[in-house]
Amino acid sequence: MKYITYPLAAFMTIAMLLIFINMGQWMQMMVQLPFMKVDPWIAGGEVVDSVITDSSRIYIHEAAHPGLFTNDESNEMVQYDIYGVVSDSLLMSVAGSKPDDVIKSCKTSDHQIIRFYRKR
Amino acid sequence: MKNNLYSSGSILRSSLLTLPMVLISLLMLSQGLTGHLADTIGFVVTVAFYSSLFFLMLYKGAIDKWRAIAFIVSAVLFSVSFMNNLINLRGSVTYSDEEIMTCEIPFCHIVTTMILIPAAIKQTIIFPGSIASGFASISSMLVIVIGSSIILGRGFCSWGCFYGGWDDGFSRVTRKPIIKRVNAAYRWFAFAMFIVMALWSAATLMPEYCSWLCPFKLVTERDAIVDTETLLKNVVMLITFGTLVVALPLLTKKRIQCATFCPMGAFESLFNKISLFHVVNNESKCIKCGKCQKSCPLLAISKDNKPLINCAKCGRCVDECPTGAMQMHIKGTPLGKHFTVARLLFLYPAYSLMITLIGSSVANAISLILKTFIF
Ligand code: SF4
Ligand code: SF4
Ligand code: SF4
Repeated sequence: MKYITYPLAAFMTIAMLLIFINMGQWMQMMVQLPFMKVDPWIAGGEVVDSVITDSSRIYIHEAAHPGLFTNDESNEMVQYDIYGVVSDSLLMSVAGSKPDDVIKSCKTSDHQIIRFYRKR
Repeated sequence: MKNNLYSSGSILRSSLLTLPMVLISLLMLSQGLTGHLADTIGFVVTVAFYSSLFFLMLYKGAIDKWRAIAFIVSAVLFSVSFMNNLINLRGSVTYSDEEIMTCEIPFCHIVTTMILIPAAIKQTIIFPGSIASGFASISSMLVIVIGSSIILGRGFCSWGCFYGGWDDGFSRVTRKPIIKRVNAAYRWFAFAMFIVMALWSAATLMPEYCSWLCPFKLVTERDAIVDTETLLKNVVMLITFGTLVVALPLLTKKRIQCATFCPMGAFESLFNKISLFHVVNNESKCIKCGKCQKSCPLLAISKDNKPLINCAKCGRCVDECPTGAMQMHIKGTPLGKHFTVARLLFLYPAYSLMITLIGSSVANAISLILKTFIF
C-alpha cells in the first residue's frame, strides 16, 4: 500500500503531456466556467443592460472611452463589438449594425458579451 | 559522496533514461516545423539542447546546475521570441489604450493572483486579454497554471516559469555573495504581496501588479509612454527590474524577485500542499552542516534545515547536501528508500513542462536569429 504513490507519480508525466496535447479540449471546458468573460469595466465600459437568451448571457455596456472605435460618424450607435467567449469565433466586429440585430444574431450563437459603443 | 549518490555513472543507462525526454521534445516541438531550413535547425538544436542537459542531470548526478542552464537560456530566448511575435502582430512591444480596449494583451500566469477575487465575486476576469483566441489566451494559460501547479506544486517556479530564469541567471553571475546574509523572514513578504495584490486588484478591478510593479514587462511588453502616468509606470518597471531581478540577485546570489516579491510565487507555494512531489530532509542522515540553508536561492529552508512551503524544487539543496539527507521525495512513500526513483519520477514531468511550455519559443528564437543573420 505504501508504494501506491509511485505509479501515481509516474503517471504525472503523462498528465503533464495531456495538459498540452488536449489543450483545445481543456480550453473548451475552461471557457464554460461562469467567470470566463472579460470584465466589462476593463474592456472599456460599464454594463448598461443585459439580455439573457437560451444559450447565453449577453451584457450590453457602454464604452469608457467613446469614440475610440468610431468609424462611422453618421450613426448614433457607431460600433458594436461582440465578445464571444465560448468556442469558435471569438471577436466579431459588427460595426454599423442595429442593437436589435446584434441581439438577434447572438441568440443563435455562443457569444456572451456585446459591447455597445455610443457616440456622445 | 556529493552528487555521486545520484550519478548513474553509465552512459548507456543515462542515455536510455533520457530517451523518453528526447521523444517528448520531438513530439511536442515538431509542431512548429514549416519546412524552412532555419526552423528545422532551430528545432534540432532545441531538442539536442534540452536532451543533452537532461542526460547530464542523470549522468553527472546534479540537478540544479543543468536545470539552471536550461531555465536561463529558456527565459532569455522566450523573451526574444515573445517580443518578436508582438512586433509581427502589432508592430511594437509597447501597448496602448487601443490594445487594452480591444483585449489584445497576452495573459501571463502572474495575473492569476489578481483575478481570483473578482472571478469569485463579480464572475468576470479583470484582464484585457482574449478569453480563448490568439497566443497566451486567458483560458490556455489558466489550464497550464492550474494543471502544472497541481502536478508540480511550486516546481513551476524552477521548471516552467519563463521569467524565473532572469533572476536565476543574475543570481549566478558573481562567485561569492557580496551581501552575505539575507534575512530569511523576507520570504513571507511575497505572501503579503499576494494578499495585497489580490485585494488591491479586486478593489480597483484592475490587475495592479501588472499595471505598476511587474519587472518582467521590460523583457516582454510594456506601456507606450504617452503621458505622465505611463512614464511613471515605465520608470517603476525599470526600478523593479534593476533592483529585484538584477542588482539584488547579483549581490546576494538569491533569486530575490522570486523569493520575496512575486505574488505568483506565493500562490504557487500553496500548491505544494497538493503536489505529490516535495523535497525533504531525511533527518537520520543530516549532520546539520547548514549547507542546504545557505545555498537555497529562494530562502525556503528553515533554521533547522527543513524545506518550507515556498520550496520551488530547484534541486540545489539536494545537490549541495554532503550526506544525501536532502532528497526529492514522493509523498506517502518510505523516506530514505528509492530516492533515485523519486528524483527521476519528479524530473520527467518537471522537465516536460519546461520543454512543452518554453521549448517552442526557444526553437522559434533560434530560427529567428538564423533568419536575421544568416538566411
Ligand atoms: S516567483 Fe514569480 S517570477 Fe519567479 S518563477 Fe515563480 S511565478 Fe515566475
Ligand atoms: S529548498 Fe532546496 S529545492 Fe527547494 S527551493 Fe530551496 S534549494 Fe531549491
Ligand atoms: S546540507 Fe544536508 S546534511 Fe547539511 S544541514 Fe542540509 S540536509 Fe543536513
